[in-house]
Amino acid sequence: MSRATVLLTPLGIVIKKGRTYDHLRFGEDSEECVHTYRDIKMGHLGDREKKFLEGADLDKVTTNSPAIASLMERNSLAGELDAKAFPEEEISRLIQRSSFVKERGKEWELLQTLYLELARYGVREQMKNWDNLVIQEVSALEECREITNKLYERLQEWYGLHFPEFARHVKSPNLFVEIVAMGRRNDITPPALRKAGVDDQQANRIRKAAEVSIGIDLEDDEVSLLKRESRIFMSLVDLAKSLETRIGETMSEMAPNLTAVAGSILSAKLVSRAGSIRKLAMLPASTVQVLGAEKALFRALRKGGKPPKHGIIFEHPIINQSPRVSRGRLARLLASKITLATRMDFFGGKDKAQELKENLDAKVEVILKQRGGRRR
Amino acid sequence: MRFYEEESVSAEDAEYRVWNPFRSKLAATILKDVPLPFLHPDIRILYLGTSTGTTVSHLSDLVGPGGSIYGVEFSARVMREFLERVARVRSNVFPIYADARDPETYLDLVPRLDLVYCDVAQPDQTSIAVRNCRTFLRSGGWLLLAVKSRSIDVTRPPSEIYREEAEKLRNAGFAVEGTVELEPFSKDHAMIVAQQG
Repeated sequence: MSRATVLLTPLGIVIKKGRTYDHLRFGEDSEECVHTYRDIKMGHLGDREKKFLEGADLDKVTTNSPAIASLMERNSLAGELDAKAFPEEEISRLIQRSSFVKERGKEWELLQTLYLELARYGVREQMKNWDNLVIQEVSALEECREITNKLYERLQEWYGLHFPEFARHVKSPNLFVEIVAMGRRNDITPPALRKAGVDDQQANRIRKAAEVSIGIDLEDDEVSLLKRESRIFMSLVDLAKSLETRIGETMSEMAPNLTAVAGSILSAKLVSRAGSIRKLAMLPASTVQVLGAEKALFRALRKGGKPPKHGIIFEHPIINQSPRVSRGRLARLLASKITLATRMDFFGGKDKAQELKENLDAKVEVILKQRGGRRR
Repeated sequence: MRFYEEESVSAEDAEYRVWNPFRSKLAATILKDVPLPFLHPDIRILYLGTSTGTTVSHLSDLVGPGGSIYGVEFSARVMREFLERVARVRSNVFPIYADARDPETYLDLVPRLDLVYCDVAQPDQTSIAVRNCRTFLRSGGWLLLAVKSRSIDVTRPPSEIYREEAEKLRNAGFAVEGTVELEPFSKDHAMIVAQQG
């Protein structure tokens, strides 16, 4: 049997066997074509396409599609398979000879519109889902932080029984736990401390405190439990770091405007509170302003009294680093910029991150000056 | 017709678009007096890492209606802008939303061609370029590889990185015609011009 050629295009399939040409078009409109084509690329062969390939009765096949090749192999539709890129002239010839595209010479025009559809479809699919993932990731991050806080508190109490003088010497939770993981107070050696980034002076103080400590002694089993809890703390801190990086990448890629205004973590939290980027884009700025302060807001609405000035946007340095008198106005400003930026991101506006950020900073300066206040 | 906020100049019956070397590494390469004789109308180009399509739009003018450009981009957001700004309005630009690391996934969308332009700013960009050339570039076809030294290794001097990436190409069977640093247009970037054996 002679060598056959199987050409996959987003429009359909062309088979050349000896001197005969045959074709199967995926559909009349581009939507049908895109769906069938994508199915094949994902490894699903429809009945119509399968019958077409079976009917051709092929043996040695050259194709431009690894997807078709593996489908034919799986369904035993060919003996020998070879996948490689075809020259453009050959693609044109295959399409023309099989009278696959009625209008002569229009095949590339037609194909180009399908490339566009295909890319649009892929982008839409991707865009549909990114916020779901970010919501899970930012929730995981918040949980990581809660758990590490608890573990840190526990370790302080726990290790404090053995070495009560120690907590005073170390302020950073990460460093504290790293040292606890070394074990008993007498296992805290200067080289290990240096490796953990402690300077000699402080290492000396810790060393001296350990020598005169009034803490109780620990048995091996007890030390081992402490070490294990410390290691869990450290691995959670590490996880939180990776989550932050990932969230930062996704947010600045998918919502650059929002991220420029609110920072990646706060942006992700806002998306999470709203439920999706779409929902966040639909919210009025006044709601965004108090997202996360629902309890205080509804209390104010029910019983009267002052409504909250800010919800989770309090985490933004523009608010929590400014004097209290200005925070209300700043919160309104920030919320409206967040809303604007989210809408630009969601409805396909351009990346105007730099401009938004400058505009926000300028307005913040004005508000702070009006009140005669200054950012700390 | 303008596609981004570039200047354009009308003269007699034609309109000329200003090609900004600070925005396009290819424009910078040309201004650095690098001969690119293979760049002419009617050729077929695979463009990896189209970004939003500034350079692609100029190449599209350059190759004309008889040529074609297959543009691969992996970031959904950037792709969306590329589609609207460039691909939708230029019939010789074929957009492909895919990861340039996996040429197999778009094998059926790209024919054999004359030039691979690679600007992906990834640590393994040279190997990405080589794999795409092996898959799609005709023998004797050309590669333009934009090297961003900082995305390969920030800590080492750029010139050392350019040398190394050029060496990788030689080992893969390419004849390296030249390497040109793109200062002052873009910092820590170079363009390597190579021909596939």
